[in-house]
Amino acid sequence: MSTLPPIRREVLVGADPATAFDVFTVGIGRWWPLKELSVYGAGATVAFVDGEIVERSAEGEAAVWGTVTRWEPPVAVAFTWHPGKAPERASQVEVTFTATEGGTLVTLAHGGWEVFDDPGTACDEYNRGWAKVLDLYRDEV
Amino acid sequence: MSDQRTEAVFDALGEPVRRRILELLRDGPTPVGQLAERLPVGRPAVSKHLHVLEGAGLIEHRSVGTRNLYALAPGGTGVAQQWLVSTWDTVLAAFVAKVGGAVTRAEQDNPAPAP
Repeated sequence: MSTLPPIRREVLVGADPATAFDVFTVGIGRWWPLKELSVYGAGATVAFVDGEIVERSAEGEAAVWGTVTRWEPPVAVAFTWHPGKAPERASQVEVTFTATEGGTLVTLAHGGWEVFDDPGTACDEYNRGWAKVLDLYRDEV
Repeated sequence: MSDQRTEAVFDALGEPVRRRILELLRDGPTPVGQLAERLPVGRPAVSKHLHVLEGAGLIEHRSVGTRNLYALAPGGTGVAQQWLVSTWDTVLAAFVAKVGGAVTRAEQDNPAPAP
C-alpha cells in the first residue's frame, strides 16, 4: 500500500435533502465540533463565506479550511481541504445528499492523496525536471 | 495513536514529491539513485524527503550489501486511515445530532421515529 485511498463514510438522516444540505453547509457553524477539531480550538466559529470555509478565532484571526469546488444544492457540495496548511497541500472532500425513503443518505468521501490528482502541478514539476536534465545533457555534449 | 504520529504522516503525504516517491516504491525496494533519477528535484532534496517519509513511518530503509534500498513500510498508512475514519465519524455524528430525527446506517433495522 502506498498513498492513502479515499475514505468514505455514510449516515442516514431523517430530514429531506434540502434540509440536510443546508444544515451541512449554511449551518456548519452550529454543529462542527470545533473544540475537538479546529485550528483555533474552543471559542472559534466556522462558516462557508464567499466560496471558502473559514474559521475565525475569538480574537478575529482567520484560517481557511478549503475552497468550494462544487456547490449543487441539494445534491452535492465539494471542497478542497487544508485546515492549518497551505492550499498547495490540499486534499479533497465531497459530500453528496441522496433522497431515500424517510430521509437522506449523506455520503462523505475524503480523497485526493493520489499524485496525479493535479496534472498541472505534476506537469510543472516534470517540466522543471526535464529542464534540469537537458542542461546536464547540454553540458555533457 | 499519538497526535504526533498523525501529524507526521499527513505532513509527509501533503507534499507532491513525497507522494511521488511512495508511488515509485510500489514497484518494490529501490536504491536512492534510481528514485532520484525519476524525480524533478536534486539529490539533496530527495534525501530530505526520504528522511521525512521514514520519520513518519511510511517507508523503511535497508542495506543490502553495498546498496541502500528504500521500501514502503507495511501498514504505514493504516494509522492515518484509522485517524481519518474516526475523525470524520466524529464530524458526522455531530452533524446527525444537529439535523435531528436521525439514524446511522448501522441502526437501519431499528429506525428512529420520524421527527
